[in-house]
Amino acid sequence: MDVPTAAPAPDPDAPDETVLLELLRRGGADPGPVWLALALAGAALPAQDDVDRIQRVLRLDGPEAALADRLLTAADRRPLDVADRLLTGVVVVDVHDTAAADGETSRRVVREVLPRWAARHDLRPVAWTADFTQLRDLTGDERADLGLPPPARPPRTGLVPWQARWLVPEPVHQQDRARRVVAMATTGAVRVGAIAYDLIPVTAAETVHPRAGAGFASHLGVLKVSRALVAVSAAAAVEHEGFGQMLAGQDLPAPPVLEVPLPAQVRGVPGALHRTGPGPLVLCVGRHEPRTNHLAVLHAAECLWREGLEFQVVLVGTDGWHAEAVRELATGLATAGRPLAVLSDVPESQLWATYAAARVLVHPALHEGFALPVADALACGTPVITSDVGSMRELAAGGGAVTVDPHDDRALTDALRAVLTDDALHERLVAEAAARPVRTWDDYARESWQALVPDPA
Amino acid sequence: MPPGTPAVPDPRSADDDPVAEAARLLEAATDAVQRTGGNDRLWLLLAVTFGELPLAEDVLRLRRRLELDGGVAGSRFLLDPARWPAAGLSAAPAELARTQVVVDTGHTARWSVTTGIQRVVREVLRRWVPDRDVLPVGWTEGQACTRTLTAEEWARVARWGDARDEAPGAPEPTTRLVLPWHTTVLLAEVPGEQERVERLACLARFSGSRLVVVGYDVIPVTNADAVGPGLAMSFSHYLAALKHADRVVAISRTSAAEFTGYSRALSAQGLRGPEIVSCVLPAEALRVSAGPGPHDADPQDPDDPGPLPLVLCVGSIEPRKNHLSVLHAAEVLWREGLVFRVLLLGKTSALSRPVQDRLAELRRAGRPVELRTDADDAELARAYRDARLSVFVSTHEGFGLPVAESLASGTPVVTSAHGSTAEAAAGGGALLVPVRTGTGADGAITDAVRRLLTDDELHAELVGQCAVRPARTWDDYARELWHHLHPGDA
Repeated sequence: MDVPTAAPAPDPDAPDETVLLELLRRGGADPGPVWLALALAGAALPAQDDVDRIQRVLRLDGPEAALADRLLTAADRRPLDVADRLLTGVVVVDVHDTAAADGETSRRVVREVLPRWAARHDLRPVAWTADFTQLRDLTGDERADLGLPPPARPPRTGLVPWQARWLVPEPVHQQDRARRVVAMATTGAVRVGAIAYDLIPVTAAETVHPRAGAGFASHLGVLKVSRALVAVSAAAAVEHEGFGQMLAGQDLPAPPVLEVPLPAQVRGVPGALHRTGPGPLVLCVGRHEPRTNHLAVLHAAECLWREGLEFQVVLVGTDGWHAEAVRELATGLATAGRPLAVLSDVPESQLWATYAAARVLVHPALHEGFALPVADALACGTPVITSDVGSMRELAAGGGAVTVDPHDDRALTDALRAVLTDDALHERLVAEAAARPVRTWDDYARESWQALVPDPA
Repeated sequence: MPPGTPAVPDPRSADDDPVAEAARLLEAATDAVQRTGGNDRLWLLLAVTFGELPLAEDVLRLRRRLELDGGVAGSRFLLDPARWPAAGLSAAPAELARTQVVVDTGHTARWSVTTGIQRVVREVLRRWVPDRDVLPVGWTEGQACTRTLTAEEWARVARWGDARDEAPGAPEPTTRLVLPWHTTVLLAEVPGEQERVERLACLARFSGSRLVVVGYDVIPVTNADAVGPGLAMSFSHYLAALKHADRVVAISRTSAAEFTGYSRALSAQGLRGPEIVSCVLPAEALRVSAGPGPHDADPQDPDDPGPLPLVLCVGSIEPRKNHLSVLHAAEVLWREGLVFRVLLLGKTSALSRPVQDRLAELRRAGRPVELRTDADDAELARAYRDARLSVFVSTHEGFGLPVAESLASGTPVVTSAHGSTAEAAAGGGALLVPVRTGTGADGAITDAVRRLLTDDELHAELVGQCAVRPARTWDDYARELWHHLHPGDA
């Protein structure tokens, strides 16, 4: 499976009928040319079922019968236009969702990495048509939004990768999109490499939206056929190795997992600071959902306010599943006069200013593939209280952080009290944070490219 | 009374206002629970108050309320009508299950259908009920709480297949709520209801009970295209309940390897994950009488060739089972001039369309191929007995029951050379072919079926191997599974 096919690329000057028959003649034993014939002639990139069907017709009745099959009937056939549509040997980067998705780690990664990759390497960023049947170039606006230069040629729809690399820097949540990527990989048209963030919808389904698992299962289909999974942390690597082991019953090789940790780099110019009142600022950044454990943060804060400590709390994040529980508790506390604010639309410059001004970032999440808020705060020199598990523990190990069991409310309260009241501790954490080795997006872009595209495609 | 059990005031001292008195009782209980500090007692307090198995978020909320404001706030939390179940507080009597093994039969008790999973639940319970300390439970409407079974449900889980027997220990006519407390709970179904799964997860995490799960496979998440996104979603919630389980008893070594991968992935959350052991399902020939055999060739009639050799394919009609590959092999062999018929026994679904279309094409072309979607056990047993061979070339199975059943019935099998099907075939009687996604295995499947149809010597050899396979019975399985329920007996 997933061995690039040896079939040569078609001759762009030959008549369409000749090209297709030539591909089909090679297709009895090799699914690659069948995939290519269907991709070039059909109105949609093929799914595995389509390839299987044509291969079986080929074996029973030969290439002419296959060419007459309903999937390839001349009436529906489009001009192959090989010279313009075929992307032979190209590195294709599928960034369809990046402009749309909000608050995902992957969105930030794609925005940081894609322009850096594009500046140093030859690649073709692509998206899908609205029904996820065909590949298209990014529009000029989409390219500009992602920090890419204007396109050299007019954007095209109906692109067909061939003997190409297919990079997956963002999760593939759409079933029709995932299915077509899987068919490309299993027939050998492309070699897939993916950035592996986390398996939260499968390993911690109770902490995120109940529907998250549906789209994520499609993404797992893509991970299954990947030749390289580039994990964003050691914890993410272990999680994806576990997933590889879960494939035992299908006799599939576990996809090789490589660890390339995400960087922590301050970006942008700090802008105006958001404050809710006097006193040190306790900051909490992340989507409001059970996974981020914001209820525990508010509980710890209330315990300490009752003890008479003076500090203010700012929660920055969009609403996720069960956000009403956080909203309800926060409203109750604010109504009772606690200096507490919940913000959802914070411009990036203001967020950086808030990180820099905070006495401490509290991030006791139950699970993270990579905790960007922890990395960002530490990069700003701000101490962090985070969970003693997985990727958060890894980040904390570099200094500047106190770790707690995220299920232990009292431990969290104690840690927050200590960081608020113990100036020596706080100073030590600030010094540790400042002394952390700097890891930049340039570092990450270089290492992740090497992991995803180990030799020139 | 065990140490730490809430001290409840003497009810005889109640004053005239029962509501106020109830509130005082609750406050005292809440105070007592707070003093002992255990999550298990918080869990029990919520369970007893609401007549529901609690949700984790409520345990945490009550714990935080108690920490901030003590027993008064705790009892106010419990008495807040906004938190009460939609149907109001339960008036049903409740019992603590403290020593019995509580077996969740939520689906098996309610429905008569027999999937592989329900078969496991029934075969095991009918062996445990007579002399083990076991309590099969169902769920209340809305999946809020476990409860004892009705007589009808009891008959469904414990007397299945043997209706003449009196069910031993049949329950009383009215059901009681069951609150498992520091005991063992067995989940041998794969529930799709989110409520039920969340309450089981909370029970495993907080109640002091051990949750033991029979693990079938992880197909819905690692092979989602084969089952559809809806099942993938509900299955990930099922997996979330397994996080806090004590042990997963997998039905094959292959399935154990899959669950081990899942358990390992949990370390990214700082969780140990359940211990994974395997207890392989048995392979008994179906017990029902198969009835009269196929007609033999009439020796007086030289033109009667007897019945066509039967190629049997048992299993639901879905892409993972690879029926299109089998039908392709059959067509190749029919074109070669071989004479045989093909019978598919299996339920259909929305995923069956491509196979149904191909069957229609073949039938229009006059090929002797048939699909039956409603075969009962008697018909299944007859089919195994009459078949020259079975073909089961699934890409992914937790166990591969049709392989095991066919071999136990003495019928040779062509099956996939990997995973649980290879395990099931290991004792002899099968030809193994490498099977992957796509059409790569078509040729090997065709060759294997051709050999078993045309090579009488080989066929006889495999039939002979079937006869001497080591027998593994449901008695064996039930006994071993019982031992796996107890700590330290892996």
